[in-house]
Amino acid sequence: MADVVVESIVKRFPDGTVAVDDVSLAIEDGEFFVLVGPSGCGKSTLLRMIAGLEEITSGEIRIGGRVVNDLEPRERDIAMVFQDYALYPHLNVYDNLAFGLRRRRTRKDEIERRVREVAQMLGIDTFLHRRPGQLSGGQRQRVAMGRAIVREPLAFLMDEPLSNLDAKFRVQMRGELLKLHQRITTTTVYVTHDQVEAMTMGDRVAVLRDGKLQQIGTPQGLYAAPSNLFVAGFIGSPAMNFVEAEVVAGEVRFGDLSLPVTSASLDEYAGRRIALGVRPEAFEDAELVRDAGRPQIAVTVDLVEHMGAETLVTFDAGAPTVRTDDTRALAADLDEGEEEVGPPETAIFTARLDPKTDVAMGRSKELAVDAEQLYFFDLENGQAIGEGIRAQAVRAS
Amino acid sequence: MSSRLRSRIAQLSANATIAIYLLAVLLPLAWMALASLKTREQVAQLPPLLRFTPTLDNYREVFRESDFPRYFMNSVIVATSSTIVSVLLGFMAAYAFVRLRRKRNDGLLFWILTMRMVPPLAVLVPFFNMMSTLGLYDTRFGLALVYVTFNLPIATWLLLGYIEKIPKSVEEAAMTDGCSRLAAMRAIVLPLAAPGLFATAVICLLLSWNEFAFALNLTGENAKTLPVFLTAWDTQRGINWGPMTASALMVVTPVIVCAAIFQKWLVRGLTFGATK
Repeated sequence: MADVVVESIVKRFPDGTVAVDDVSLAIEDGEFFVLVGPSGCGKSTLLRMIAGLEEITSGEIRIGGRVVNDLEPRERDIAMVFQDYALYPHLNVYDNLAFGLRRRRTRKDEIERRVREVAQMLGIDTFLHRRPGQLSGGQRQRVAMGRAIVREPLAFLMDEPLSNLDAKFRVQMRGELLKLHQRITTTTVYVTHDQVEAMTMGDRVAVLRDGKLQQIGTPQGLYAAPSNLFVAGFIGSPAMNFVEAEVVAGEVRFGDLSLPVTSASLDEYAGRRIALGVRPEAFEDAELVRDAGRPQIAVTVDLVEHMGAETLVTFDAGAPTVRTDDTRALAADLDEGEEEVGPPETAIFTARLDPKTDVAMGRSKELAVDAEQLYFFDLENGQAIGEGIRAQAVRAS
Repeated sequence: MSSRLRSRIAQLSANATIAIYLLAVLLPLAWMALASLKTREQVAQLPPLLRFTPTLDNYREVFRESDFPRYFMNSVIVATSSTIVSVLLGFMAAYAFVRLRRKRNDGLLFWILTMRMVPPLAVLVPFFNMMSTLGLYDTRFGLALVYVTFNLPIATWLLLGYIEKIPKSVEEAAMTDGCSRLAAMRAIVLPLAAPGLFATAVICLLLSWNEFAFALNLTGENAKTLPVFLTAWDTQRGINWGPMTASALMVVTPVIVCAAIFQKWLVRGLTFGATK
């Protein structure tokens, strides 16, 4: 058990690409720490540098207080779970689990005891004699976990370990993994591209983009007080709605709509354009809201999706979409591998409403907006405006 | 024509092709096996006699008239030693190409392959001079060394494909599990590449066992190998068919047995189930 400290880490590949750009993290002992970001953001490279599988261009990594920059993977006393499991195909499950212990010259009866204990804990004790080729995907996944746990290392490094499972099983394993971590409490660094996984699993989450650290925080903190457009759009599902809006005394205006704002930090932006962010959760059917004081907007409903527990309503905000590097990166992450369609010219908003709402496509609807859940970003640099105040509020709550 | 009929015709013609091919390969072998059991007069008869009383006289003659066991041992030693060295060095070279270089240097790989494209006779004289100068002429060591130079490129190229198929992450798992790179290579890559190693070994073994040109020119009586020895029955008084076919049969038998034993290793992949 140990803390993992990453200090000003840079990874530059020989061809000049910078995969990780000056990232610093302090991962506490026993913490479940998630690195999240779109593919190619450097999260896996960073994890591999902690493991010692990738050389460090500059910076320092300490595990349990010991600088490990020049140590080989085997000398770092960490255990890694790979995305493709990377089991030893020529060894049976027992030998797969025992491999690391034998390498470390653990006593034979001790190996036997630990392998059996871990196998039982993970429910893989009935097929210890089978080879990986004879196991299902889920069973292989457990063996891969078991191989890490049995070593009792200083830290677990997990590289998208659930991404090869089908959706239903992934959710189940997510829960099992969390329970496991509660039991073992070994420091865990977990890499994923799935923000839902990051939100549900992490004690703290670090969001990366293009090798740069965007924000570190608790899942609630990232959700409530994103520090820039990218984090705001990446965390939360359905994603936050963005629109270009104009700041006019006490109001933000976009298209025919306007919303009152109270935040004093917007004063210096008076008369300028900003990016307005509204969480889908911030909207509600005005008829169902008791608080009559809430600002309301009238919209024409484009699309209604009944999800059961909620109803998603899509409407045109009637103003230009926000186009910055951040939103482009978000769009690229969404339709990865798909034909480039290009975002629509005007912003399309999604509202998440109570299922009791009475809406239909093409009809107009009055929506109440929770002014507390409005976010403002600088169009130039994507940074949150008045982020400091919001962050303080989160910490206080 | 119905599709069923068409597929039947396709099946039939495929079988016929295989049958013709097998005849072409097996008939000479069968003739050789039969001839080795016939007397001098019977061998010469046309069409070949199929019903006759077999005799082992030709085999007796081989052992009485020649140093067959010694040539056999020469062949065994030269072929196996050159094969072991070629496969080991080829494995390490292929590993280095696959894992230790950022970009696969195809130029260097191609250059290695060109070593094998040289017609052997073109380099025979320089090889002869080198061997004489180094005192390796007519030694098993010298001949094995020459075979390594010709087998190593093939071994490297064949093993390249097998090592590329082993997921890198499995090796990395071993390295985080407590192995050095070398230990991971031994504990993980080597067993997983075993089918490839066997396949490569069989090919190297065959090439060395059957090699004639270098063996003829780089050995005298001491290190003479079986292919060279076989020509001894082609005398000034004509070909001595009986003993020649008897010796030839004893030369090809080990190769066939060897290939049969290794066959199951050649087709079975071991990496199945490592990932996903």
